[in-house]
Amino acid sequence: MSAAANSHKKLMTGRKKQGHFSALNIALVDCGDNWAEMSLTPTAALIGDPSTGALHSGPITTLLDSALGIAASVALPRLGFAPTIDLRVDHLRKANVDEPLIARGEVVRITRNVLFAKGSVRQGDVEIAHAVGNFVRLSDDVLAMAEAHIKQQLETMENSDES
Amino acid sequence: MSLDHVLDLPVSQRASQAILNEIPYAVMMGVLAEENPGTHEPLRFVMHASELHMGNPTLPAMHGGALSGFMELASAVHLLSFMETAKYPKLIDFSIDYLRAARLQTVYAVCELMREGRNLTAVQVKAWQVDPARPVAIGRAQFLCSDR
Repeated sequence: MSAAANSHKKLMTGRKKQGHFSALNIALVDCGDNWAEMSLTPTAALIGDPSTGALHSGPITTLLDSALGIAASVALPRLGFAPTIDLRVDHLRKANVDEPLIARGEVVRITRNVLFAKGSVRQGDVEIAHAVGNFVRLSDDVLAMAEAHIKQQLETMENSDES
Repeated sequence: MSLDHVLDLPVSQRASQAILNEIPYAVMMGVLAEENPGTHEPLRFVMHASELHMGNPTLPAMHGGALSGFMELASAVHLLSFMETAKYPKLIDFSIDYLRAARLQTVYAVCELMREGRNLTAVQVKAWQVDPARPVAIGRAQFLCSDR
């Protein structure tokens, strides 16, 4: 696993979950050189249609945006992040709130300015949705700032572990 | 009142907020509808941002997925407030373009029905935070509305 993937994994799994990840029970399962897997453990609060008990599309979009976004971040040649340009999600089947969803995102091509990614979501053995999304490859000076910031966070995390 | 009860009402008597109140995900996200009865103002949706919508904690921005979820809810409820359908529409696909960084502050959305068919309905949605002329994201949805 690349050093960047390792650092992202530490960041995502090491610190207390907060914000929208915590609200939707989203966690990083694993990530590698150009891919990431994330899980979402649904609750009744995420139902979109109470008459069928179906999960709303919003959490599925969020899970895919996160998985493709982390895949784009780890695919960068240095530690950083990649903002979403656009995302298109096809909802192949209804998802329920009884079982976790697993999303896998991967980067298919990196150019000087853009990272092209695709991915899908499964619930059990069933494919629920698939997506394509493109991400910004930020300029080197912006990425250098991001890298410094992330390294500082990792250090803070490690120091608080020791104390 | 359940969602089925609200949707059994004729369109003219359906309040968008009453629909949102029966969708657990909309309640969790805190999505509100501003009705302007008697005016020709389009139906506007609002979401007041909180820590709950935050993405990457390193920069206090709204998660792109939270913004998209808000816009997906807005498109569906917009459709339900204009079409005589008795079921929550099925989203076939949703496409979003992120145009500007969305901060952790109030976000608004308006929608437009682009096509109203017996089976397929297309909705466009625009979201902004400070200036409607500077949208943070635009989206489009294809919904299946038939009862089949």
